[in-house]
Amino acid sequence: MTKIAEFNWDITSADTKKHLSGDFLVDKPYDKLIFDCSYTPKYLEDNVAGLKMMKEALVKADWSLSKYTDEDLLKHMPLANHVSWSVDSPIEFVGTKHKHDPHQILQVSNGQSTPGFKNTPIYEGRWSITASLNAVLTDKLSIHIVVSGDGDNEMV
Amino acid sequence: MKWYRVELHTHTIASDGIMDPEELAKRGKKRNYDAIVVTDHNTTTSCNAVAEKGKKVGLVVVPGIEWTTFWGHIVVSGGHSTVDWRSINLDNIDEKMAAARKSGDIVTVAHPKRPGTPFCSECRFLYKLKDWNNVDAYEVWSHYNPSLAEDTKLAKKEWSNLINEGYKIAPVYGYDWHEPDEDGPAYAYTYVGLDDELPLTPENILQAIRDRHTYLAMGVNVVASILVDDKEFFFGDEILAKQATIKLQAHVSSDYKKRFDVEVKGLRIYKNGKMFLAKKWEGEEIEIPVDLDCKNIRVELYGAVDGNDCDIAILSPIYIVKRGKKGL
Repeated sequence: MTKIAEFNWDITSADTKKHLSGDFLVDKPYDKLIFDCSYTPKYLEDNVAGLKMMKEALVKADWSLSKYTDEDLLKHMPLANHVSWSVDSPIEFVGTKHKHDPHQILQVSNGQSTPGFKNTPIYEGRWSITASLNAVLTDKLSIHIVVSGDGDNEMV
Repeated sequence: MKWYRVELHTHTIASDGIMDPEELAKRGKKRNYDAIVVTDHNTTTSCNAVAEKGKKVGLVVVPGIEWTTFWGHIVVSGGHSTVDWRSINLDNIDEKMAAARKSGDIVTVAHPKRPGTPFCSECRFLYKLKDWNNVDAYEVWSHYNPSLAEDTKLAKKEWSNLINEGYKIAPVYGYDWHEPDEDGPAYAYTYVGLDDELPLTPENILQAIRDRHTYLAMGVNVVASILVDDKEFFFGDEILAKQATIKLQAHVSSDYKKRFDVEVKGLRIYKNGKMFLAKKWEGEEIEIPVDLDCKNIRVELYGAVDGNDCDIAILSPIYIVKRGKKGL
């Protein structure tokens, strides 16, 4: 397996609702690309801050705050950050993985892509991986992505 | 008109669902859906596999996607649209919806009144649409115990207001099915009506929703029509007339009753969103003459599910058009 690219992004809660993309060059006809994607922390451990966020959200949504005790709301803790991952080949959008695990290993290949991604040849050219910041509740969040290529069609 | 149970909002392992395509198809059939729409978050890669498995078990499968954007979720059904969900923002949502519809898909606003972040990532609909004509359907009910849920009151109010403003939007239920939950809380069905001679196909389902031939119900099958002289219309239709007769009948679904206790207790009729008639009723065939001196008429049924008093059905509105304006 050959490491092709690595991305480290340190972001803050102000970055929520943004897409961060990293481009990388595939210069060999690999069989598959592996994306080791992770972010930390997953959870907001501060119950006081979490309660405040939940109450504000209920008020904004016109829900009846009076129906919910702090105890009711604390059942939703710990609140979670959420990042989803998309891949683009040089010619098309390959797919998105919208799942809640903070560490996912995703594969794109011509026959065995991870569900959520199309099966596609690993074209030579410029690809990209995008981290979509669906929810960043903690003050800071670190994202780490390693892209690797595996197998070489020309050598098989 | 023949009515089919269609679940319009489902997920697989392609996103955050836990059912693979085969399990979703099998469980969909077991739950007595006639059809389902596969609407994974921001991906369509499971649609073909669910359709293949659906064929084997006798379940019609419609491809779709749930645009899971930062400002709300939108179910796009039909499998034609090529809109990249990442390009959608507060300023261009109308044009993205219009593009999806132009491609042949239908657009449904999903669970619009959930509280959103931090409870679930931006699942509340925050868009301020310039033109609600780009919306075909609206999830008036969603998820578990939909008739009793806190967000339902708000969703029903917004949908009703939109209807009163003149928009023609089909009411639908979205189970938002992520996991098997065989022993889970009560759910509802969206019923989609097709002309008797039409086969149940993805395109015919989409057209029926565009025509607003839908109703949502918890455990009751509703037979409803509107008679103008000798001509029969259906809820969701536009009618040019001064008087009509609403014909209604409701009976408890035998399969639903095996899991949940359902009781029909009455009906309510609204004109332009204001209650015109409330009547105790147990579902027997009934005919109600009405003056069509309004822009729309809606019917709701109420009753109880597992002992909880609640709405048990919401019918698509009848739209009354004035001479010279029909079809506008």
